[in-house]
Amino acid sequence: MSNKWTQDLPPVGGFPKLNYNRRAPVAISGYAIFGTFLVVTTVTTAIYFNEKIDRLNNQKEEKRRLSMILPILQAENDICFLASPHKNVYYTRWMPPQINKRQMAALPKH
Amino acid sequence: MENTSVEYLVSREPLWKVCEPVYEAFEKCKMENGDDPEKCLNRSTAVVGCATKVMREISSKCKSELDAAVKNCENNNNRTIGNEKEEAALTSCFDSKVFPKFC
Repeated sequence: MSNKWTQDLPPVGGFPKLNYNRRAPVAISGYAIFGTFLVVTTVTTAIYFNEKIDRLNNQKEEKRRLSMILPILQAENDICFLASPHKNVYYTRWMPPQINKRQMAALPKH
Repeated sequence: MENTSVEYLVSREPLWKVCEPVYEAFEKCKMENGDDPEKCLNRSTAVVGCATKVMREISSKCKSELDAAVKNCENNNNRTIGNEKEEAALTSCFDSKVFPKFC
């Protein structure tokens, strides 16, 4: 009768110690975070502006090259316009876009 | 004979090499006479005629170079920035085969 029930007891030497303290990871210092931020921002800004300058220069070069075929397009446009039925409608007609008199006046005179 | 603007664009330097005085006379006339297309009709006709003549020669004698340059330009969103190699080939072909006829 006495062997039928045994009391549930802790193991010999006791249970292992419970670590119930607050456990935070090792903190990165604010200086390190700020320095990383500064480096990353500086490098990316430099890359961005370099690419922007390249892009603008490419656009300028494209415009210059496109402007080299402008006389042909202008001349074709003029001829097509004069060959159109609007030919005889003087002074009230639509003109193709061209250099205007204000731009002409701004040019240096010989 | 009709040319696309991309064909004019890739062969702009050959065109300017031959037609520069014509272009400059046209632009001078435009600046002096304002926005009436009728006053510079002779110059306009000269510009179109010169460009058409040169383009006809280029299309007949340097067709493969012209087509390669046009294809590359059109595949590149009609930009000429990445097109230097093809344009150099076209210009050298023009210098050797077409330009002696015009000078």
